[in-house]
Amino acid sequence: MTGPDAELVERAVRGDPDATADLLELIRPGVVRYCRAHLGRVGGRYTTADDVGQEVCIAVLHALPRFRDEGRPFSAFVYGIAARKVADAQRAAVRHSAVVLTGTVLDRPDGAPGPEQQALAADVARRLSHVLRNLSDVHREIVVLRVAVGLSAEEVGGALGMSAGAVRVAQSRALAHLRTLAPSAFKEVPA
Amino acid sequence: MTDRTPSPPEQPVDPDVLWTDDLLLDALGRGGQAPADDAIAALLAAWRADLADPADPPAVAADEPADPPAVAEVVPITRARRRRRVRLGVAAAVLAVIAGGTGIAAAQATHGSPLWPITQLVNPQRAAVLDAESAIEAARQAVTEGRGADAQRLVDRAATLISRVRDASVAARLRTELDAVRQLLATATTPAGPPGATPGAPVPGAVPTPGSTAVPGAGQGGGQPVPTPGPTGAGHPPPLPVPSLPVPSLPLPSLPVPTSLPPLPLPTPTLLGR
Repeated sequence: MTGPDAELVERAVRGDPDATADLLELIRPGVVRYCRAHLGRVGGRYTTADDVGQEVCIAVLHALPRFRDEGRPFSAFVYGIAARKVADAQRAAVRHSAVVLTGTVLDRPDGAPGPEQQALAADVARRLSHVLRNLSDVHREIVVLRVAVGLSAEEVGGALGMSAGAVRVAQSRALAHLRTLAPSAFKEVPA
Repeated sequence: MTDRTPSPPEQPVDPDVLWTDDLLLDALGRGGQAPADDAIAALLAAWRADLADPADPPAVAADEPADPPAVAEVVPITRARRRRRVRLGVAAAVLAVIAGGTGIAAAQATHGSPLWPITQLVNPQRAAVLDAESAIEAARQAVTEGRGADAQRLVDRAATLISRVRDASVAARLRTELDAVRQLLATATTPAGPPGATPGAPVPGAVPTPGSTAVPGAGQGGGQPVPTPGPTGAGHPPPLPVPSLPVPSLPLPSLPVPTSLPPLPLPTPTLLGR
């Protein structure tokens, strides 16, 4: 929904520093939410996901001069990069799963929102990510891009190589699937 | 339509449902609230809020205050276009990142911090500090290598860069470092100062007394060490500022160099005991 306009992208691709900064400011929150949605909290925090989000932003900056050649919508360009970075991070997490998964959720010395709120938020996120794991990869990606990032159906279609109509059908099916899973999501919550 | 969903033989979705779901996801995607009777939408809304929440307040809070709390049924598909005037320093940092210069260093420098707001990526202040530091270092290098003009230019550049550093204590530290380089530069260039101000030129015949002569004019040297005559200078004429005369590079007589050496008696293997 917050897709940058073509003129701004064009100026950024040409190397206009102001436009590049504007563009980065514009895409950054969505990129962060995307990485958080896919990578979740580690040790009760989004630090790891935010690290990956930072890598995505840097990668977008470096790839920006090549954007024109690819002939894709800009959001597709950004979230293609983000998807690769997230996949890299997930592979790395699997390699170091013993370390990652035993990260403590206790003993947080600081934490702005306060322990109860944070625990609740973390709980919601954990339930949801558990439910999302039951979706197919494409459905899960659509939900993340539509809800977590806030892309339009058209933008998601561009990112996934689908028509907007196909995205709308798929997202309805994903929602229907989620609705069948929701009751269980509130009961069985694996730690 | 290339629907990629699994299990292809699914029933077509009711167009009304398609439309309703699309509006719902649009609203959730912009951080809107879920309809009260929709459990999964509530879960998605809470999830969306959590994703945007704790460690990323500047970006989200600054970017999206204009969004009214959206309700799923009434939000059309729109493209909110927000153009924010971003500080010049951000642009400089972005340029640095693109160029692979100090911006990357800045990004990596923050990599280990415990809660890493992604705003660090375009932290213009860090880039400004790094730029200033590198200019100071380059100036110091230029001074030590005797490149006075370069050094002066780099000192000026560093001063400009320091003026962009907002943190007062950091700026003060950088200014101290820059002043040290300025001192070095002044020291290095003063002996070749303007000849009219040549200090301590003794009157011919005046007997110099050690310790009182050859003190350069105060305005000239600024207090930096100046070569002074040693205490043994009583019997010597005071060291006049020596004009650096151009030494003619005289053609040296090329001596005939023997190109072939006379054969020396080499030790034979038998002498070496073999």
